[in-house]
Amino acid sequence: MNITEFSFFIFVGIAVLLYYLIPIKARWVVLLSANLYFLYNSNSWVLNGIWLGCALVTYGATVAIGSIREKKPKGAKAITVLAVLVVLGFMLALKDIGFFTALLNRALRLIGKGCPTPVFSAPIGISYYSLVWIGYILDVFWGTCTVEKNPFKFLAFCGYFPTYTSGPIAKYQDVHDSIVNGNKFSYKNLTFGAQRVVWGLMKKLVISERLAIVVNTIYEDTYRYPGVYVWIAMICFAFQLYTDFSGCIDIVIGIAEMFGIKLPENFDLPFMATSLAEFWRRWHITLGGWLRDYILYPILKSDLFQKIGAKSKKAFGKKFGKKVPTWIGLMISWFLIGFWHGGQWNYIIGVGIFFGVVIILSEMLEPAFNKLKAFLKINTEAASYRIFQRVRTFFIFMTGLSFFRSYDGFTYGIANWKNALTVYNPWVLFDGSLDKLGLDQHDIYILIFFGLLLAGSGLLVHFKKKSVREIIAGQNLVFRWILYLALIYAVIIFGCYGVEFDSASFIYQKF
Amino acid sequence: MNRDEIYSILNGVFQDVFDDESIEVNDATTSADIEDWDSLEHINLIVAVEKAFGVKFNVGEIHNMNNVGDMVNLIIAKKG
Repeated sequence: MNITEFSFFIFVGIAVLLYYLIPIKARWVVLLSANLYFLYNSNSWVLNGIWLGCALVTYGATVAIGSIREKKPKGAKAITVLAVLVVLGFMLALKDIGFFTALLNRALRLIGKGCPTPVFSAPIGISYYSLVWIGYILDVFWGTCTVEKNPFKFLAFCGYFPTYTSGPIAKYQDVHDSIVNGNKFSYKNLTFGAQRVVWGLMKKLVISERLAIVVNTIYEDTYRYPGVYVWIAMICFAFQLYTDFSGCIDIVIGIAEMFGIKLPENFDLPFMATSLAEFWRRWHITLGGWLRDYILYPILKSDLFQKIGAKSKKAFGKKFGKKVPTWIGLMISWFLIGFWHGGQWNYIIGVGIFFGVVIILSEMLEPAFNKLKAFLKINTEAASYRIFQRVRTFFIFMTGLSFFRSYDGFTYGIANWKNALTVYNPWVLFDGSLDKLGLDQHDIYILIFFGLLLAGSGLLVHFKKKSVREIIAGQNLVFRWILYLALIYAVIIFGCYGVEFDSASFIYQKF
Repeated sequence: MNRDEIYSILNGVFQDVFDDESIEVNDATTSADIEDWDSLEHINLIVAVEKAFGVKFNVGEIHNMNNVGDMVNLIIAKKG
């Protein structure tokens, strides 16, 4: 079941209707039923069996950990480790078996042997729900959240269906109470949620799907489309990914809002970031937060990293030395971010190690950059300097993404860069060549109009700190509804559908 | 160990971690009040506090610290 399909919205509409028709205390039952129906329509019986098995392990383990945590801490720790290994093991086995088999085959080739690569499919949302469940197990062990002892209520939380497409990775503390306690009907929640769904559909179907046509046309034949074309593809892909992923998140958060459930935000105007570190605090926020809380903090606090810190302070001095364990921890986290996207080097390097290296290097070189800026008398408070910082941040992000997009492998990404830097053909920007990339003039005007609409709403939020939905909600009824209906019609009329404009999947749905 | 004694040690820890001898913390101090106190420096601070007071915080307790007052309450609870 895909969240841009008409049948999905019928399903959500029925679920919302039933949710508010029954008594508030029983409303979680509707969510549980919707979860199971969604999984039934999305996975095979085997995959649903694996999902349920892992869910029951998580349930059983958390109830056990909660009951013995204070009296028998060692036993609680053992159960925690086992449960995390089960959930993590299934995620790695089903998602990344190809990566591990390739590594094994490299080793076996040294002795002239090899083994076949098994092909598994994974339950929908495994990359997202596995992290939520692992976080929940650890939070129970650390005593930072309560334990859900009712197995059915647990399934209502752990299988919360809107997040199964592309997240956000919502912690137990963020959503559990709202899911199991039920929410009162609110006209504002219902309409604001529906508006956000339509806004997300606009991003995905009107903007992202059109950009995808340009990106795919160029990337499928970069020998025919070299030089400036490759730059266009790289820039368009950055905006395609943003409108695809954040559009999906808008739909998911909007649906949750219709049930009165507040999911955490996953984006905060990332292209307004003035540094790469800030960018990643604004992009895929819940993944970064998860890694910080459950990977980075625990390893930085570990005895091993404390010893590394003590030695590095002796070796490099206090100021620089204390940063060393943090940088090692950050590199581990960035590797894991890349690996989470899939066991392929284009992901591990493109959206992992590359960004980690840039962030660490910029921190290391900050004193030198500050001296250079003082020497050149650069006014860092000027608006022009902030624009420069934003363009620079976008360029670095786009560079990493160019490898991420190289589905044929890392070397293909290198070849694309060589192509972009060695072929000089700026005239294609002016001689009508761009009209042959799959979009006609009409499509390009639509893209520009809705792109400006999106940018304008973002700038309003950033500079005026005002929510566009709140501004519109404050207008008169007739004007308000003209705007709502205009957006709905725009999505219906200008949205890309059908076989050629395959809008069936979101990019982050496959991770 | 009373609250004042804890603060006299804690001020030294903060000054040492953030390399700023002018830092004076109180119950209401948060990360917004100290320029270099970001999420990564928070861990260095926690480890330094643990060493100074001979206590251990678990990750859950670290998550739940909203200000220095919360930190001091935890130190008092752990020192008995």
